[in-house]
Amino acid sequence: MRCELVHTSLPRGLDGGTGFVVAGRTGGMPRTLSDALADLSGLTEAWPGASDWDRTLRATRPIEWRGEVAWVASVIRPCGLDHTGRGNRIAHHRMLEPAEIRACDPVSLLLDHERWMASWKGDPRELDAEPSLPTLVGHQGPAQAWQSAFGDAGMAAEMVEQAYRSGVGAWIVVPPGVDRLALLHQLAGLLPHENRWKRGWSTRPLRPVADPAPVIAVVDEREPLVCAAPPNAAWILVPRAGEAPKASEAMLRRAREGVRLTEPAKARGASATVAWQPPERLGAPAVPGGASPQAAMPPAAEVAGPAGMAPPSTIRVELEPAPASGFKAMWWLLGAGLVLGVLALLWRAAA
Amino acid sequence: MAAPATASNPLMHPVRDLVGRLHCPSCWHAMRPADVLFIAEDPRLVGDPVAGADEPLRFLPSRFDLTGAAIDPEGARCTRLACPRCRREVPRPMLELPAKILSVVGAPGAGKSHLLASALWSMRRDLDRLGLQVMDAEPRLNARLHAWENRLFGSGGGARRLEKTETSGGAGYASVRIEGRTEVVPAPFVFALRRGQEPSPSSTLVLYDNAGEHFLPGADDALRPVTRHLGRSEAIVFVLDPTQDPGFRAAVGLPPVPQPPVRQDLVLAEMAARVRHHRGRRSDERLEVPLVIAMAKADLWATAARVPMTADPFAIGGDPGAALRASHVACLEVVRRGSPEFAAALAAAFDRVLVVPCSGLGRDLAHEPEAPVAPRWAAVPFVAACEFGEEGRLGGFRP
Ligand SMILES: Nc1nc2c(ncn2[C@@H]2O[C@H](COP(=O)(O)OP(=O)(O)OP(=O)(O)O)[C@@H](O)[C@H]2O)c(=O)[nH]1
Ligand SMILES: [Mg+2]
Ligand SMILES: [Zn+2]
Repeated sequence: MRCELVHTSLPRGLDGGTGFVVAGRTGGMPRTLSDALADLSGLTEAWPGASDWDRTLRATRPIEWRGEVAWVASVIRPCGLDHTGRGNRIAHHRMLEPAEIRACDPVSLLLDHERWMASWKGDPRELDAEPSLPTLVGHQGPAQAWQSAFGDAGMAAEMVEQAYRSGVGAWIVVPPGVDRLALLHQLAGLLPHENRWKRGWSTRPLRPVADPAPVIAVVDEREPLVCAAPPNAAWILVPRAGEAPKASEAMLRRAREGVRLTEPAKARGASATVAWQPPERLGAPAVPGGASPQAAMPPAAEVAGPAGMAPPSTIRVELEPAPASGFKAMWWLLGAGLVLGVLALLWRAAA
Repeated sequence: MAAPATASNPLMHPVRDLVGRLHCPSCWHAMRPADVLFIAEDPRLVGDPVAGADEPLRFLPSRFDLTGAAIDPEGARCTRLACPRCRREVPRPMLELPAKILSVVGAPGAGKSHLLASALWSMRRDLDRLGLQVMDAEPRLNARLHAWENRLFGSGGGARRLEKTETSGGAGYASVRIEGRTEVVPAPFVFALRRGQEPSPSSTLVLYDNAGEHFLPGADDALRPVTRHLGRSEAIVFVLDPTQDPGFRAAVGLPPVPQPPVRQDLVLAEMAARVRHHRGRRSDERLEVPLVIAMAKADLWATAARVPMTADPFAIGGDPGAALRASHVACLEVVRRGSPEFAAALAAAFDRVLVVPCSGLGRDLAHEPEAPVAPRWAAVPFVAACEFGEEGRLGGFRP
C-alpha cells in the first residue's frame, strides 16, 4: 500500500502522547505499519558543528512488512526547536507501491525537495492519500559531480560496482564540502533502473545489514560512526583522486561517457546501450591473508566458519543456528527409520 | 554449549572472585560468568550474526594466554566480553562485582538527560560531598555520556543544551538479531561504584537514559524491550517536572503556560504497572522497590515553595536521613497541593518513597544558553537510590 507518515516532536500526537509522536499519517494506515515507520525516524548524532544540511538523512530503505520487502523513502532533518526548547527533527516517510518503484529513480525521489516536509504545521491529523508519484528518471549522462570531486568520473564506476557487490551495504566516505546528495544521485543513476531498487541509498551512515537489502551510503568522513568503525572495515570505501578506477569497461564508459547500460540478455539489437553484468553479491567473508582489503562482509546469516581456515570447534558450534535442535531431529528421524525397517523385516519374515 | 572452555579459563577462576550469576545490562538475560562470550580483536573477524555485520565476532574461546585473555581464531588477544543472548558487550567489572541497576523514569522533557549528566559528573568528582564515587566500568561504552558532560561542563563554547533523547536509532539503542527477529535493546551506562573510605569499588552501577516516550502507555513491547530494566532495578528514580503541570505551577507560584499538561500521574501509574508485570506481582500489590522522586528544575520553583536545599545531605560523617527529611516533607506538601492525583498514584503503589528536590542545570537555559551551568543536588536522588539497600546509609530509613 502507498502511504506516508510524519514523525516529529509536538506537545500532543495523533495517537496521544507527547514528545516524538506521529504528527500525521495517511488515513487507514494499520497501526503496525505506523509503528514500523515511526521506528525509522531516529536521526543519529552527527559531528560537532554539522550543518542542518549535513545532518539530514535522505534514504530509501527496505522494511519487512507482512512477510514481504517494502520500500520506504524518507527525509529526516533538523527543524528548529520544539515546544520544550530543544532541537527538533522531522521525519517524513513514504512507502512506495510497485508501480512507483518501476517509475521512479530512488535518489531522484529523495532530491525532489517540494515533496518532503521541512516542518509540521497545525494539529496532528490524518493525511489524504496522495496521487501516485510521477515518473522520475535518474541521472543520465556522465557522472560530473564525481569528475569534479575526484578528477575522474570513472571513480563513480568503481564505487558503484564495489558497493553493489557488498553483502551488507557500503559507506562511501567522502571529504567535507562535497555535495553528497549529488554524488549519490549520479551513483544510483549509473545502474540500470531495476538494479537501483535492489539496494537502498542514503546520505548518512546506516548500520551495515544484510537483510532485507543492503544500503549504499555516501557519507562525510567526519561522521562519528565512520570514526568509530573498526580499522579497514570492509563496508567502508574511500574514493581517492588520482587513482586509476578499477571497474568493468562497461561501467567505466557509463560513468565517463554517459552511455546507457542494460543487462546482457536485453542488449541484443539496441545499439546505443552497452551490456553490463551486475557484480555478484559477496557471499564469503574476507579470507585471512588472501582477500582483497575491500572485499565486503557477507550477509550476517552466512557467517558460518570463514572459508580457508579452521576455527576452533567451539566457534563453529556457536555460529551455527540452533545446532542442538537440528541434530536432535536428525537422530529422531534415524531412530524412527531404523525401528520401521526392523518392523518391516519382521513383517516379511512372519508373512 | 561449550561452557567448560570458559570455565577452564584462569581469568574465570577463584584467583579473582566472580559473582555467581549476573544479568546482561542490555537484555537482562541471566547468566553465569562461565557463559559469557569473548569479543574478537583481530580486524579480520568483523561481522557477528547476532550483534551485527559491523560488530566483531563473538566466540566461545578454547585457547587462552598466560594472563587468562582469550585467543581469537586469528591469534589476537581478547579481553572484552559479551552476553551469550544479545551479544552486546558486558563490561568486565560486572562479572566481578554485584550490580545495582537504577531505572530513571520520567515524562518527555522532564529533565532526565540533563539531570543524569550533571549527577554523574558530580558523582565522579565529589566523593567528600556524596560519600561515594563512580568510575566508568568501560569508558568506550559511556562515550555518549562523556559528550553530554563536555557539552554541559566543558569549555568548548556553544549552548549548554542537550538534544532531546531519540526514541529509536542513534547511540542509545542497539538492534540485534535474535532467532531471526530484530530486537532493539537499550545501551546502558555502567560504572564501578566505590563507597566512603573503601579502597576499591564494591559494586557496579547500571543506568539507562530512556526517551520519556518509552514510559507512555503502550511503548514497550517484545521487540522493543527498552524499559524492561524496571523488572530488575534495585531502585527507581522518577524525574517529576513540576513545571509541566498547571496544578504544580500554581502551587509554586509559576505563571500558567499555554501547552497542554503532561499527565505525570499516568506516567507513574504506567511505570508501576510495568514494574508489577515484569516482577510477576498482582495488580493490586504495593511495591517495596525504593522510589526516589527527583523533583526537577528546582531552580524555577524551590525558593518560592520554601523547600530547603542547603547542606550536602550525603557529606561524609553527616546524617543523610535527617537532612533529607526536611526537603522531603516540604516537597511532598507541594505535590499534595499541586497534583493530588499524583500524590494518590504514589500512595497507591509504592511503600518506600523519598522526594528530593534537584536541578540538573541550576538555571534556565532560555537566557544566556552558553553561560556555565550550576547544578543543585543533581546527584542526591541517585546517591539516595544507591543507599536504600540494606547495607546503605538509608537502609532502615522510612521518610
Ligand atoms: N530551568 C531548568 N530547566 C531544565 C533543567 N533540566 C532540564 N531543563 C530543561 O528541560 C528540558 C528537558 O530536559 P531533558 O533533560 O532533555 O529532558 P528528558 O527528560 O531527558 O526528555 P526526553 O529526552 O524527551 O525524555 C530542556 O529544555 C532543558 O533545558 C533544570 O535543572 N532547570
Ligand atoms: Mg532525554
Ligand atoms: Zn544480553
